Amino acid sequence: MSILKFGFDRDICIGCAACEVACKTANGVPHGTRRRRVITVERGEYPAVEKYFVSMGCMHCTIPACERACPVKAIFKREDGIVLHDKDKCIGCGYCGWACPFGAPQYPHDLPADLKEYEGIMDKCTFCVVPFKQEKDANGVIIQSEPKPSCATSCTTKALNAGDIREMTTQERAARSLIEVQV
Amino acid sequence: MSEIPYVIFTVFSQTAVGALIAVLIADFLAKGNEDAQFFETGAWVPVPVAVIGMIAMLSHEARPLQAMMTMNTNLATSWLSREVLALTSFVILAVIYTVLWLFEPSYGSLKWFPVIPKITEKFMALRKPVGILGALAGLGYLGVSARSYMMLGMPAWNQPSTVLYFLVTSLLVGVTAVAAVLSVKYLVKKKEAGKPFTSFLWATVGIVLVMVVVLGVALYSNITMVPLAGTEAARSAQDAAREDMLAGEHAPFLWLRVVIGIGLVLVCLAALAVALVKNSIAKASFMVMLVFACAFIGEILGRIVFFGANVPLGEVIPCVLSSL
Repeated sequence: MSILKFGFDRDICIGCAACEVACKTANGVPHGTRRRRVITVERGEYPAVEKYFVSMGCMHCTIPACERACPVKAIFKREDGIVLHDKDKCIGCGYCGWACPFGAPQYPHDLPADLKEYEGIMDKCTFCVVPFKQEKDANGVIIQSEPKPSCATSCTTKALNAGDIREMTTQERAARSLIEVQV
Repeated sequence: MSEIPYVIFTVFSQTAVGALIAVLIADFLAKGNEDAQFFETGAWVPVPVAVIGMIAMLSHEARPLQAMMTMNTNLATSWLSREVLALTSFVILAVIYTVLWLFEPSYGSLKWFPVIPKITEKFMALRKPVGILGALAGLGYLGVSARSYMMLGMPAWNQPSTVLYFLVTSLLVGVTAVAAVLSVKYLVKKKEAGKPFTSFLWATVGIVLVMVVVLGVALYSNITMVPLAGTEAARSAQDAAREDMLAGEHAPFLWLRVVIGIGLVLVCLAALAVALVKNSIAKASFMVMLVFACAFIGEILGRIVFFGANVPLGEVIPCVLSSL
Protein backbone atom coordinates (compact mmCIF):
# COMPACT_ATOMS: atom_id res chain seq x y z
CA MET A 1 0.00 0.00 0.00
CA SER A 2 1.41 3.36 -1.01
CA ILE A 3 1.30 6.30 1.38
CA LEU A 4 0.45 9.44 -0.54
CA LYS A 5 2.05 12.76 0.37
CA PHE A 6 3.07 16.05 -1.17
CA GLY A 7 6.72 16.94 -1.54
CA PHE A 8 7.90 20.52 -1.99
CA ASP A 9 11.28 22.00 -2.84
CA ARG A 10 11.32 25.70 -2.09
CA ASP A 11 14.70 26.15 -3.78
CA ILE A 12 13.14 25.70 -7.21
CA CYS A 13 9.67 27.20 -6.67
CA ILE A 14 9.31 30.40 -8.72
CA GLY A 15 6.00 31.50 -7.15
CA CYS A 16 4.00 31.32 -10.39
CA ALA A 17 0.90 30.11 -8.47
CA ALA A 18 0.03 27.65 -11.22
CA CYS A 19 -0.62 25.06 -8.47
CA GLU A 20 -3.13 27.35 -6.80
CA VAL A 21 -4.96 28.11 -10.04
CA ALA A 22 -4.98 24.46 -11.13
CA CYS A 23 -6.40 23.39 -7.77
CA LYS A 24 -9.22 25.92 -7.92
CA THR A 25 -10.08 25.01 -11.52
CA ALA A 26 -9.95 21.24 -11.07
CA ASN A 27 -12.01 21.18 -7.90
CA GLY A 28 -14.42 24.06 -8.50
CA VAL A 29 -13.16 25.89 -5.43
CA PRO A 30 -15.03 29.21 -5.20
CA HIS A 31 -13.57 32.70 -4.85
CA GLY A 32 -12.20 33.42 -1.36
CA THR A 33 -11.30 29.81 -0.53
CA ARG A 34 -7.90 28.34 -1.24
CA ARG A 35 -7.11 24.68 -0.76
CA ARG A 36 -3.55 25.50 -1.79
CA ARG A 37 -1.89 28.88 -1.46
CA VAL A 38 1.48 30.22 -2.53
CA ILE A 39 3.03 32.34 0.18
CA THR A 40 5.82 34.82 -0.47
CA VAL A 41 8.30 35.02 2.37
CA GLU A 42 10.74 37.91 2.64
CA ARG A 43 13.21 37.82 5.50
CA GLY A 44 16.52 39.10 6.70
CA GLU A 45 17.94 42.63 6.76
CA TYR A 46 19.70 44.46 3.96
CA PRO A 47 22.04 43.41 2.46
CA ALA A 48 21.47 39.85 3.70
CA VAL A 49 17.92 39.48 2.48
CA GLU A 50 16.19 36.51 0.95
CA LYS A 51 12.89 35.93 -0.75
CA TYR A 52 11.29 32.59 -1.41
CA PHE A 53 7.91 31.03 -2.10
CA VAL A 54 6.10 28.28 -0.28
CA SER A 55 3.19 26.34 -1.71
CA MET A 56 1.09 25.53 1.35
CA GLY A 57 -1.75 23.04 1.51
CA CYS A 58 -2.90 20.10 3.53
CA MET A 59 0.08 17.90 4.39
CA HIS A 60 -2.14 14.82 4.84
CA CYS A 61 -0.33 14.25 8.12
CA THR A 62 0.45 10.79 9.41
CA ILE A 63 -1.37 11.68 12.64
CA PRO A 64 -3.68 14.52 11.54
CA ALA A 65 -4.27 17.09 14.29
CA CYS A 66 -7.50 18.11 12.54
CA GLU A 67 -8.87 14.56 12.67
CA ARG A 68 -8.13 14.28 16.37
CA ALA A 69 -9.62 17.70 17.09
CA CYS A 70 -12.87 17.35 15.13
CA PRO A 71 -15.70 16.96 17.67
CA VAL A 72 -18.09 15.31 15.21
CA LYS A 73 -15.72 12.86 13.45
CA ALA A 74 -16.20 14.63 10.13
CA ILE A 75 -12.51 14.23 9.25
CA PHE A 76 -11.14 10.80 8.44
CA LYS A 77 -8.04 9.25 6.91
CA ARG A 78 -8.02 6.79 4.02
CA GLU A 79 -5.72 3.78 3.98
CA ASP A 80 -3.50 5.48 1.42
CA GLY A 81 -2.95 8.42 3.79
CA ILE A 82 -5.30 10.95 2.21
CA VAL A 83 -7.15 12.97 4.87
CA LEU A 84 -10.74 13.65 3.84
CA HIS A 85 -13.63 15.55 5.31
CA ASP A 86 -17.38 14.89 5.22
CA LYS A 87 -19.15 18.18 4.65
CA ASP A 88 -22.51 16.74 5.72
CA LYS A 89 -21.17 15.89 9.17
CA CYS A 90 -19.23 19.15 9.62
CA ILE A 91 -20.85 21.74 11.91
CA GLY A 92 -18.42 24.54 11.04
CA CYS A 93 -16.97 24.98 14.55
CA GLY A 94 -13.54 25.92 13.20
CA TYR A 95 -11.69 23.78 15.74
CA CYS A 96 -9.77 21.84 13.07
CA GLY A 97 -8.55 25.17 11.67
CA TRP A 98 -7.08 26.02 15.07
CA ALA A 99 -5.58 22.57 15.53
CA CYS A 100 -3.88 22.36 12.13
CA PRO A 101 -0.31 23.70 12.34
CA PHE A 102 -0.35 24.49 8.61
CA GLY A 103 -3.59 26.47 8.43
CA ALA A 104 -4.97 24.02 5.87
CA PRO A 105 -8.68 23.92 6.75
CA GLN A 106 -10.55 26.81 5.14
CA TYR A 107 -13.94 28.29 6.02
CA PRO A 108 -15.71 29.54 2.89
CA HIS A 109 -17.92 32.60 3.21
CA ASP A 110 -19.95 34.69 0.74
CA LEU A 111 -20.48 31.68 -1.50
CA PRO A 112 -22.57 31.79 -4.70
CA ALA A 113 -26.19 30.65 -4.49
CA ASP A 114 -25.55 27.09 -5.76
CA LEU A 115 -22.95 26.51 -3.01
CA LYS A 116 -24.77 28.26 -0.15
CA GLU A 117 -25.20 24.98 1.75
CA TYR A 118 -21.41 24.98 2.32
CA GLU A 119 -21.33 28.46 3.89
CA GLY A 120 -19.01 28.27 6.92
CA ILE A 121 -18.49 24.52 6.42
CA MET A 122 -14.84 23.49 6.35
CA ASP A 123 -13.09 22.76 3.07
CA LYS A 124 -9.61 21.37 2.55
CA CYS A 125 -7.33 19.69 0.04
CA THR A 126 -8.53 16.20 -0.84
CA PHE A 127 -5.60 15.18 -3.06
CA CYS A 128 -8.08 15.93 -5.87
CA VAL A 129 -10.30 12.95 -5.01
CA VAL A 130 -13.31 15.06 -3.91
CA PRO A 131 -14.24 18.40 -5.52
CA PHE A 132 -15.54 21.37 -3.53
CA LYS A 133 -19.13 20.27 -4.17
CA GLN A 134 -19.14 16.90 -2.47
CA GLU A 135 -21.47 14.15 -3.71
CA LYS A 136 -22.44 10.83 -2.16
CA ASP A 137 -23.57 7.52 -3.58
CA ALA A 138 -26.74 5.64 -2.61
CA ASN A 139 -24.99 4.22 0.48
CA GLY A 140 -24.06 7.66 1.74
CA VAL A 141 -20.37 7.23 0.88
CA ILE A 142 -18.53 10.24 -0.57
CA ILE A 143 -17.85 9.72 -4.29
CA GLN A 144 -14.08 9.81 -4.76
CA SER A 145 -11.98 9.83 -7.90
CA GLU A 146 -8.38 8.70 -8.51
CA PRO A 147 -5.77 10.68 -6.56
CA LYS A 148 -4.06 12.82 -9.21
CA PRO A 149 -3.39 16.20 -7.62
CA SER A 150 -3.68 18.90 -10.26
CA CYS A 151 -1.41 21.25 -8.27
CA ALA A 152 1.54 18.86 -8.61
CA THR A 153 0.87 17.95 -12.22
CA SER A 154 0.66 21.62 -13.19
CA CYS A 155 3.78 22.75 -11.32
CA THR A 156 5.99 24.42 -13.92
CA THR A 157 9.30 23.67 -12.21
CA LYS A 158 8.41 20.38 -10.48
CA ALA A 159 8.94 22.04 -7.13
CA LEU A 160 5.69 20.48 -5.97
CA ASN A 161 5.35 16.73 -6.27
CA ALA A 162 2.77 14.22 -5.13
CA GLY A 163 2.90 10.47 -4.79
CA ASP A 164 4.09 7.63 -2.62
CA ILE A 165 6.25 9.10 0.14
CA ARG A 166 8.79 6.26 -0.15
CA GLU A 167 9.32 6.85 -3.86
CA MET A 168 9.57 10.60 -3.40
CA THR A 169 12.07 10.24 -0.58
CA THR A 170 14.23 7.92 -2.72
CA GLN A 171 14.07 10.36 -5.64
CA GLU A 172 14.96 13.29 -3.39
CA ARG A 173 17.91 11.43 -1.89
CA ALA A 174 19.14 10.56 -5.37
CA ALA A 175 18.76 14.17 -6.52
CA ARG A 176 20.55 15.53 -3.46
CA SER A 177 23.45 13.06 -3.81
CA LEU A 178 23.74 14.12 -7.46
CA ILE A 179 23.96 17.78 -6.38
CA GLU A 180 26.62 16.90 -3.80
CA VAL A 181 28.64 15.01 -6.45
CA GLN A 182 28.42 18.00 -8.80
CA VAL A 183 29.51 20.39 -6.06
CA MET B 1 -14.83 41.27 15.41
CA SER B 2 -15.25 37.60 14.60
CA GLU B 3 -14.08 36.59 18.07
CA ILE B 4 -17.09 38.10 19.90
CA PRO B 5 -19.11 34.82 20.10
CA TYR B 6 -16.05 33.10 21.60
CA VAL B 7 -15.60 35.98 24.06
CA ILE B 8 -19.22 35.81 25.19
CA PHE B 9 -19.24 32.01 25.33
CA THR B 10 -16.11 31.67 27.45
CA VAL B 11 -16.70 34.63 29.77
CA PHE B 12 -20.34 33.75 30.48
CA SER B 13 -19.91 29.99 30.84
CA GLN B 14 -16.97 30.52 33.20
CA THR B 15 -18.87 33.18 35.13
CA ALA B 16 -21.66 30.65 35.64
CA VAL B 17 -19.19 28.29 37.35
CA GLY B 18 -17.99 31.02 39.72
CA ALA B 19 -21.59 32.09 40.38
CA LEU B 20 -22.56 28.55 41.39
CA ILE B 21 -19.56 28.40 43.73
CA ALA B 22 -20.66 31.73 45.24
CA VAL B 23 -24.21 30.46 45.79
CA LEU B 24 -22.77 27.32 47.40
CA ILE B 25 -20.70 29.48 49.76
CA ALA B 26 -23.88 31.39 50.63
CA ASP B 27 -25.66 28.07 51.15
CA PHE B 28 -23.08 27.12 53.78
CA LEU B 29 -23.15 30.58 55.38
CA ALA B 30 -26.97 30.65 55.76
CA LYS B 31 -27.91 29.74 59.34
CA GLY B 32 -31.66 29.58 58.99
CA ASN B 33 -34.56 30.09 56.64
CA GLU B 34 -34.32 33.90 56.90
CA ASP B 35 -30.72 33.93 55.73
CA ALA B 36 -31.47 31.37 53.05
CA GLN B 37 -34.40 33.46 51.81
CA PHE B 38 -32.04 36.41 51.39
CA PHE B 39 -29.38 34.35 49.58
CA GLU B 40 -31.96 32.60 47.40
CA THR B 41 -31.95 35.53 44.95
CA GLY B 42 -28.33 34.70 44.10
CA ALA B 43 -29.43 31.27 42.86
CA TRP B 44 -31.05 33.00 39.87
CA VAL B 45 -27.61 33.87 38.48
CA PRO B 46 -25.68 30.69 37.36
CA VAL B 47 -28.12 29.02 34.94
CA PRO B 48 -29.24 32.06 32.88
CA VAL B 49 -25.61 33.16 32.58
CA ALA B 50 -24.59 29.67 31.41
CA VAL B 51 -27.45 29.64 28.90
CA ILE B 52 -26.29 32.97 27.42
CA GLY B 53 -22.83 31.42 27.04
CA MET B 54 -24.21 28.31 25.37
CA ILE B 55 -26.31 30.36 22.94
CA ALA B 56 -23.17 32.34 22.02
CA MET B 57 -21.29 29.07 21.50
CA LEU B 58 -23.93 27.70 19.15
CA SER B 59 -24.31 31.03 17.33
CA HIS B 60 -20.85 30.80 15.82
CA GLU B 61 -21.42 27.33 14.38
CA ALA B 62 -22.46 27.08 10.75
CA ARG B 63 -25.04 24.41 11.71
CA PRO B 64 -26.12 25.16 15.30
CA LEU B 65 -28.87 22.53 15.60
CA GLN B 66 -26.67 19.78 14.20
CA ALA B 67 -23.87 20.96 16.53
CA MET B 68 -26.13 20.66 19.57
CA MET B 69 -26.80 16.99 18.81
CA THR B 70 -23.38 15.82 17.65
CA MET B 71 -20.65 17.89 19.29
CA ASN B 72 -19.65 15.28 21.86
CA THR B 73 -19.26 12.49 19.30
CA ASN B 74 -15.47 12.32 19.40
CA LEU B 75 -14.71 12.05 23.12
CA ALA B 76 -11.80 9.72 22.42
CA THR B 77 -9.51 12.40 20.97
CA SER B 78 -11.30 15.77 20.68
CA TRP B 79 -10.91 18.21 23.56
CA LEU B 80 -13.79 20.23 22.12
CA SER B 81 -16.10 17.21 22.49
CA ARG B 82 -14.88 16.79 26.06
CA GLU B 83 -15.44 20.49 26.72
CA VAL B 84 -19.04 20.23 25.52
CA LEU B 85 -19.62 17.15 27.69
CA ALA B 86 -18.08 18.87 30.73
CA LEU B 87 -20.17 22.00 30.18
CA THR B 88 -23.35 19.95 29.74
CA SER B 89 -22.65 18.03 32.97
CA PHE B 90 -22.07 21.28 34.83
CA VAL B 91 -25.24 22.89 33.47
CA ILE B 92 -27.39 19.86 34.35
CA LEU B 93 -26.11 19.92 37.96
CA ALA B 94 -26.50 23.72 38.08
CA VAL B 95 -30.12 23.42 36.92
CA ILE B 96 -30.90 20.81 39.61
CA TYR B 97 -29.20 22.96 42.27
CA THR B 98 -31.11 26.04 41.13
CA VAL B 99 -34.43 24.15 41.14
CA LEU B 100 -33.74 23.04 44.72
CA TRP B 101 -33.26 26.70 45.69
CA LEU B 102 -36.07 28.35 43.76
CA PHE B 103 -38.73 25.73 44.49
CA GLU B 104 -37.86 25.41 48.17
CA PRO B 105 -41.34 25.13 49.80
CA SER B 106 -40.90 27.72 52.56
CA TYR B 107 -38.85 30.53 51.01
CA GLY B 108 -38.20 29.76 47.32
CA SER B 109 -39.24 32.50 44.85
CA LEU B 110 -41.22 29.89 42.94
CA LYS B 111 -42.78 28.15 45.97
CA TRP B 112 -46.22 29.16 44.66
CA PHE B 113 -45.68 26.90 41.64
CA PRO B 114 -47.96 23.83 41.62
CA VAL B 115 -46.60 20.33 42.38
CA ILE B 116 -42.84 21.00 41.98
CA PRO B 117 -42.23 22.45 45.50
CA LYS B 118 -43.81 19.32 46.98
CA ILE B 119 -41.40 17.18 45.01
CA THR B 120 -38.34 19.30 45.82
CA GLU B 121 -39.23 19.19 49.52
CA LYS B 122 -38.27 15.51 49.56
CA PHE B 123 -34.86 16.24 48.09
CA MET B 124 -33.84 19.34 50.06
CA ALA B 125 -31.21 17.37 52.00
CA LEU B 126 -29.47 16.81 48.68
CA ARG B 127 -29.10 20.50 47.84
CA LYS B 128 -25.65 21.03 49.29
CA PRO B 129 -24.24 17.73 47.89
CA VAL B 130 -25.64 18.64 44.47
CA GLY B 131 -24.09 22.10 44.81
CA ILE B 132 -20.71 20.58 45.69
CA LEU B 133 -20.95 18.20 42.74
CA GLY B 134 -21.92 21.13 40.49
CA ALA B 135 -18.94 23.18 41.71
CA LEU B 136 -16.59 20.25 41.09
CA ALA B 137 -18.09 19.68 37.64
CA GLY B 138 -17.68 23.40 36.97
CA LEU B 139 -14.03 23.37 38.01
CA GLY B 140 -13.56 20.29 35.83
CA TYR B 141 -15.16 22.17 32.96
CA LEU B 142 -12.71 25.07 33.45
CA GLY B 143 -9.78 22.65 33.20
CA VAL B 144 -11.11 20.83 30.15
CA SER B 145 -12.04 24.12 28.49
CA ALA B 146 -8.55 25.54 29.04
CA ARG B 147 -7.00 22.34 27.70
CA SER B 148 -9.16 22.56 24.59
CA TYR B 149 -7.52 25.89 23.74
CA MET B 150 -3.99 24.77 24.62
CA MET B 151 -3.07 23.28 21.25
CA LEU B 152 0.11 23.17 19.19
CA GLY B 153 -1.54 25.06 16.31
CA MET B 154 -2.09 28.10 18.55
CA PRO B 155 1.20 28.70 20.43
CA ALA B 156 0.01 31.87 22.19
CA TRP B 157 -2.72 29.83 23.93
CA ASN B 158 -0.51 26.83 24.57
CA GLN B 159 0.76 28.04 27.92
CA PRO B 160 -0.21 27.95 31.62
CA SER B 161 -1.77 31.44 31.51
CA THR B 162 -4.79 30.01 29.67
CA VAL B 163 -5.80 27.92 32.70
CA LEU B 164 -5.22 30.86 35.02
CA TYR B 165 -7.24 33.27 32.86
CA PHE B 166 -10.22 30.93 32.84
CA LEU B 167 -10.03 30.39 36.60
CA VAL B 168 -9.82 34.15 37.20
CA THR B 169 -12.81 34.91 34.97
CA SER B 170 -14.82 32.26 36.74
CA LEU B 171 -14.19 33.28 40.33
CA LEU B 172 -13.61 37.02 39.87
CA VAL B 173 -16.71 37.70 37.78
CA GLY B 174 -18.89 34.83 39.00
CA VAL B 175 -18.54 35.52 42.71
CA THR B 176 -18.87 39.30 42.33
CA ALA B 177 -21.92 38.81 40.06
CA VAL B 178 -23.77 36.95 42.82
CA ALA B 179 -22.51 39.44 45.41
CA ALA B 180 -23.75 42.32 43.23
CA VAL B 181 -27.20 40.76 42.83
CA LEU B 182 -27.43 40.20 46.59
CA SER B 183 -26.25 43.78 47.17
CA VAL B 184 -29.06 45.11 45.02
CA LYS B 185 -31.45 43.03 47.12
CA TYR B 186 -29.86 44.38 50.29
CA LEU B 187 -30.30 47.97 49.13
CA VAL B 188 -33.98 47.26 48.34
CA LYS B 189 -34.82 45.08 51.38
CA LYS B 190 -32.31 45.80 54.14
CA LYS B 191 -34.29 44.01 56.84
CA GLU B 192 -33.93 40.60 55.23
CA ALA B 193 -30.11 40.61 55.33
CA GLY B 194 -28.47 39.09 58.36
CA LYS B 195 -24.89 38.72 59.52
CA PRO B 196 -24.15 35.96 57.01
CA PHE B 197 -24.40 38.57 54.24
CA THR B 198 -21.51 40.47 55.82
CA SER B 199 -19.57 37.20 55.98
CA PHE B 200 -20.41 36.61 52.33
CA LEU B 201 -19.06 40.05 51.42
CA TRP B 202 -15.84 39.32 53.34
CA ALA B 203 -15.52 36.03 51.46
CA THR B 204 -16.00 38.00 48.23
CA VAL B 205 -13.19 40.38 49.23
CA GLY B 206 -10.87 37.43 49.90
CA ILE B 207 -11.68 35.65 46.64
CA VAL B 208 -11.33 38.83 44.56
CA LEU B 209 -7.99 39.66 46.16
CA VAL B 210 -6.59 36.20 45.46
CA MET B 211 -7.92 36.27 41.90
CA VAL B 212 -6.37 39.67 41.18
CA VAL B 213 -3.00 38.28 42.30
CA VAL B 214 -3.54 35.20 40.09
CA LEU B 215 -4.50 37.50 37.21
CA GLY B 216 -1.25 39.43 37.67
CA VAL B 217 0.71 36.17 37.52
CA ALA B 218 -1.26 35.05 34.45
CA LEU B 219 -0.63 38.35 32.65
CA TYR B 220 3.09 38.21 33.42
CA SER B 221 3.23 34.61 32.26
CA ASN B 222 1.28 35.45 29.10
CA ILE B 223 3.40 38.48 28.20
CA THR B 224 6.66 36.65 28.79
CA MET B 225 5.14 33.71 26.88
CA VAL B 226 6.23 30.74 28.95
CA PRO B 227 6.57 28.24 26.11
CA LEU B 228 5.14 24.75 26.25
CA ALA B 229 6.11 24.04 22.66
CA GLY B 230 9.71 24.99 22.12
CA THR B 231 9.98 24.91 18.33
CA GLU B 232 11.22 27.96 16.42
CA ALA B 233 7.88 28.22 14.64
CA ALA B 234 5.99 28.23 17.95
CA ARG B 235 8.29 30.89 19.35
CA SER B 236 7.82 33.02 16.23
CA ALA B 237 4.04 32.77 16.56
CA GLN B 238 4.26 33.66 20.25
CA ASP B 239 6.50 36.64 19.50
CA ALA B 240 4.06 37.90 16.86
CA ALA B 241 1.16 37.49 19.29
CA ARG B 242 3.06 39.34 22.02
CA GLU B 243 3.86 42.19 19.63
CA ASP B 244 0.18 42.52 18.75
CA MET B 245 -0.76 42.38 22.44
CA LEU B 246 1.75 44.96 23.66
CA ALA B 247 1.99 47.39 20.77
CA GLY B 248 -0.39 46.31 18.04
CA GLU B 249 -4.09 46.40 17.32
CA HIS B 250 -5.02 44.78 20.63
CA ALA B 251 -2.69 46.80 22.89
CA PRO B 252 -5.40 49.33 23.90
CA PHE B 253 -7.59 46.45 25.09
CA LEU B 254 -4.75 44.99 27.13
CA TRP B 255 -3.86 48.25 28.87
CA LEU B 256 -7.53 49.09 29.47
CA ARG B 257 -7.88 45.68 31.03
CA VAL B 258 -4.94 46.33 33.33
CA VAL B 259 -6.37 49.72 34.35
CA ILE B 260 -10.02 48.62 34.75
CA GLY B 261 -9.72 44.91 35.49
CA ILE B 262 -6.90 45.20 38.00
CA GLY B 263 -6.39 48.87 38.99
CA LEU B 264 -10.02 49.92 39.45
CA VAL B 265 -10.97 46.55 40.91
CA LEU B 266 -8.29 46.96 43.59
CA VAL B 267 -9.38 50.56 44.36
CA CYS B 268 -13.04 49.52 44.70
CA LEU B 269 -12.02 46.43 46.69
CA ALA B 270 -10.12 48.59 49.16
CA ALA B 271 -13.16 50.86 49.54
CA LEU B 272 -15.33 47.75 50.02
CA ALA B 273 -13.05 46.41 52.75
CA VAL B 274 -13.04 49.79 54.52
CA ALA B 275 -16.85 49.93 54.36
CA LEU B 276 -17.06 46.42 55.83
CA VAL B 277 -14.65 47.31 58.64
CA LYS B 278 -16.86 50.33 59.44
CA ASN B 279 -19.90 48.03 59.23
CA SER B 280 -21.42 50.25 56.55
CA ILE B 281 -23.13 47.48 54.58
CA ALA B 282 -25.03 49.86 52.28
CA LYS B 283 -21.78 51.44 51.13
CA ALA B 284 -20.16 48.02 50.86
CA SER B 285 -23.05 46.82 48.70
CA PHE B 286 -22.54 49.74 46.36
CA MET B 287 -18.80 49.04 46.16
CA VAL B 288 -19.42 45.34 45.38
CA MET B 289 -21.48 46.38 42.37
CA LEU B 290 -18.59 48.55 41.19
CA VAL B 291 -16.11 45.70 41.71
CA PHE B 292 -18.34 43.43 39.62
CA ALA B 293 -18.72 46.03 36.85
CA CYS B 294 -14.95 46.63 36.65
CA ALA B 295 -14.14 42.90 36.83
CA PHE B 296 -16.68 42.08 34.12
CA ILE B 297 -15.44 44.81 31.76
CA GLY B 298 -11.84 43.83 32.48
CA GLU B 299 -12.48 40.17 31.68
CA ILE B 300 -14.35 40.99 28.47
CA LEU B 301 -11.42 43.17 27.37
CA GLY B 302 -8.95 40.47 28.39
CA ARG B 303 -10.80 37.83 26.44
CA ILE B 304 -10.87 40.05 23.34
CA VAL B 305 -7.06 40.20 23.61
CA PHE B 306 -6.89 36.44 24.21
CA PHE B 307 -8.80 35.59 21.04
CA GLY B 308 -7.66 38.53 18.93
CA ALA B 309 -3.92 38.72 19.60
CA ASN B 310 -3.22 35.18 18.56
CA VAL B 311 -1.12 34.09 15.63
CA PRO B 312 -1.79 30.56 14.35
CA LEU B 313 1.22 28.38 13.68
CA GLY B 314 0.06 28.06 10.05
CA GLU B 315 0.86 31.74 9.48
CA VAL B 316 4.48 31.49 10.57
CA ILE B 317 5.42 28.00 9.39
CA PRO B 318 6.37 29.20 5.86
CA CYS B 319 8.58 31.92 7.35
CA VAL B 320 10.70 29.48 9.33
CA LEU B 321 10.66 26.77 6.68
CA SER B 322 14.35 27.12 5.91
CA SER B 323 15.24 26.16 9.45
CA LEU B 324 12.81 23.28 9.84
